[in-house]
Amino acid sequence: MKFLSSIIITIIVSISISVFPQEIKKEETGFTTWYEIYYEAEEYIKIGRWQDAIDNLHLVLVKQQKDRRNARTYGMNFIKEFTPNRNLGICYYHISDFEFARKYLEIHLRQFLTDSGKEYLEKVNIELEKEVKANEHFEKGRSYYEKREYVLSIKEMEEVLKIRPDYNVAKKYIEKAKSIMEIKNKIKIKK
Amino acid sequence: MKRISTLTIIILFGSSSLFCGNIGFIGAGARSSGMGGAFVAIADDATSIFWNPAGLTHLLEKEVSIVGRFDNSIWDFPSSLAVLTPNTAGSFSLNFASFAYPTKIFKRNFTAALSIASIYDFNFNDKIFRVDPGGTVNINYLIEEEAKGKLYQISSGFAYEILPDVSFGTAFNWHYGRINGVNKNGKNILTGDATLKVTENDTLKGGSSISFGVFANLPYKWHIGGVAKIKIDDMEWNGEKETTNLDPKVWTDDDYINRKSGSSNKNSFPNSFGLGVSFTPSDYIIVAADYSIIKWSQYKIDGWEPVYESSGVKKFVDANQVHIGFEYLLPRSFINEYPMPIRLGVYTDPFPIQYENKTGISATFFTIGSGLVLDFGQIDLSIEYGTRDWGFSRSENIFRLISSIIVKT
Repeated sequence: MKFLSSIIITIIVSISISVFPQEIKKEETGFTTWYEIYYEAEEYIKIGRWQDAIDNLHLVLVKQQKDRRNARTYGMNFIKEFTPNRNLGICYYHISDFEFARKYLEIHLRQFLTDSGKEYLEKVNIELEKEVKANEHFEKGRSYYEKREYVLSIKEMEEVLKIRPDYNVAKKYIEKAKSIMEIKNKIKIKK
Repeated sequence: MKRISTLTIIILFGSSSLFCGNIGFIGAGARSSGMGGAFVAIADDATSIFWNPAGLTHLLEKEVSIVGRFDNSIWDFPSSLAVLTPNTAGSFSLNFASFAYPTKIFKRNFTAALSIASIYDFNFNDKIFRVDPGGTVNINYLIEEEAKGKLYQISSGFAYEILPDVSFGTAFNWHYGRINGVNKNGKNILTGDATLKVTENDTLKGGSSISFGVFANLPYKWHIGGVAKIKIDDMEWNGEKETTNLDPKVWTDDDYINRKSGSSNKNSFPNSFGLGVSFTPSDYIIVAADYSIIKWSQYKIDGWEPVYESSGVKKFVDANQVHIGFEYLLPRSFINEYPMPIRLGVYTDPFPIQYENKTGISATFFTIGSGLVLDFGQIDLSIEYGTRDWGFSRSENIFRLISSIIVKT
């Protein structure tokens, strides 16, 4: 009978593995529960894989929308600080998507106040203020560019880059303005 | 004899106490106990191999569980025997230990587990007043009964997540037990003469069964679980017995005199089936209910049937059990760092025989429990209380204290 039971078990396992499809909710991670996907997101955050973390956290939010203390995973197991919204805010901050960062950090702080949440929201707000200033300088610089006041345009665009070194459009305007000024200088010299 | 020896019933039925609805229900774990044993559709820790092996796929970390249990029975006698003090029997034992090892196979949860459970504690200490052959109470005769021993269930099993929210599990259960001394001493109270002495040592081995379980997460935070336990082998019961009966007119019960030394019996295990549902509306609340049936009507013990006939037992009947449980986590403002639950439960524990003059013997147990979730795992405690009316103006007040620890590694 023991032999028979072993055969039955083997058959059931084989059928289970072969009949049911291997696709799962999130093929990339291989995890099927929200808390496994959340744990993986935390690992991504530790190593700075922001976009992967963002993907995971959006999946988590489909099932668990609220940041909270002691979120039950299974049995008597809990995530002491379950903060998918805060973590999304942090990830968006790191990829300089400050609008989204502020959105999720504000959601987080409405649900569950944490020091790191507040800290990141302050950082995000500073960045957004900078962005406003950078945009103001950029608009001025573009306006000067269109008026063919290239020196002033370059000055404004350099202000932009002081605030936002990754502002590539400003860099292009500077390059264009400089090249136009060089051409003008050459023409002046020839004359 | 108009009455059956309580010990006889307990030992005979205890020998096949296999399912979560054991005779003298013994569960596994203080958390499940606190929830009235309604755990088939929860089954989310290392004790799951006992309740529903499919639930093992919940685990993400290796877990070790150890469960201790204290049983205490207080027997009530009829008012006509009020001069006699009700007897008390109590014992403490480690009744369950398990180890669960979760991993991934084909990107899905797979958990293997081992466990050993004391599914019946034969420890017993009792005094019974005899009814004379004419059928009237004769308190001149007293028999003291005592037994020590346990029946163990050793299980090995596994569970696999066959679909994202559907798991299947199975466990092979093997049984082994010993009763190290069933001592019965009968005496005439008035003269003090010892007129009966029975000493018995039994070995129980070879019985096996296989459990199948399924677990599914449903929409809207509902969960269902099902489990079936199917007999594979009968258990062999070998007894060594010595009887000295100096007063056969009084001690006529087959149980005391008929069984021969070196006798061997086969006990057929009853199959059992259980179905559970649970609802987890939030992190803080779990409500669960189970229904199980143990097919005692199929139960057979070679060579023992005449004992039941002569003792007035009509027949074996299926035991239908209902378990209802509730778990509530205290608000986070109260315990911020370490979650602390409060559990309540109720369950019925019918005794699967029908006497001629009764429809059945049942008991309802009320449970309460709590615990603490710590960094290394959890500790839990529960209390069960119930009363079982055995008939013949005799009832048993049962108190149990169960403690368990689960360590995550």
